Amino acid sequence: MWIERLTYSPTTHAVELAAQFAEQRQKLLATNVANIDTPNYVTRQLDPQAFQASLKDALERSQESSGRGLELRGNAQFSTGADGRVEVRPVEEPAENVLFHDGTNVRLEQLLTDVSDNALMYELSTNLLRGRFTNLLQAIRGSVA
Amino acid sequence: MIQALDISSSALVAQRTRLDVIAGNMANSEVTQQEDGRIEPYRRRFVTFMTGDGEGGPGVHVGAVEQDQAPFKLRYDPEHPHADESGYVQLPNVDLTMEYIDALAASRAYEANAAMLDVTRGMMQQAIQLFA
Repeated sequence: MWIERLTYSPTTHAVELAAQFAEQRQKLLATNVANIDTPNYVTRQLDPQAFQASLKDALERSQESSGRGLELRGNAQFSTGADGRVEVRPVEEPAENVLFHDGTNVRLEQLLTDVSDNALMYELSTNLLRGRFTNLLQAIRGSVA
Repeated sequence: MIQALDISSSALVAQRTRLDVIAGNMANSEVTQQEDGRIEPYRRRFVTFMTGDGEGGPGVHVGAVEQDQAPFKLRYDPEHPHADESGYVQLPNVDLTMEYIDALAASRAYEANAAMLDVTRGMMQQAIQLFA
């Protein structure tokens, strides 16, 4: 559609993917906090740094080919599906628990740090997206007010 | 994102159930007679958590409420109507200190999940503001 040609940009798409990743990671972190007292539950995680590196590669590839979609690949934890959305496959946290004998390895402090970090990433993504939409609106109206 | 809310609320329900069971243990810590009239002390109950919401979704749920099979406490009190022929009364196998500590842990876990709920709510708020 013409409106998509008008509004599409690889960076906006990248920000969208980052927001989707943060959404999926939030779900995972909620599961980890929920199971904080469940015996034999092993923490699962997604690596945000690997995601950002992968996103950077995708942006570079998109610039070289002047192609349209961004495609995340080369990482076992996440990829873009057929509909262009981020699909995630969390991995189990390798950290061993040496203190307790209930088979869990939940570290609450680390978990809550990750939660704050993830919320900020999501806030950043949504703010950038909102800025982009505001720009478009200004262009459509022909005024900055 | 809505699912993250469900996950956190499943944990709130599970932890609250755990607190209910602890409250039941404390309330019954001196009970020497069953509901049906049998002279048998109250047995301590405890919950076991299982991962998943019990209906195939993610989260956590109470798998079962089990009865503690530890031996009952004995107190020498020959005047007690429930004392046996040698004068000992069987009392519930509830240790109040243990229950207090368990209640504290449950309350902290509840707090952690409530905090999680708040963060997710903040993120949803951010997403909604995209439309504004």
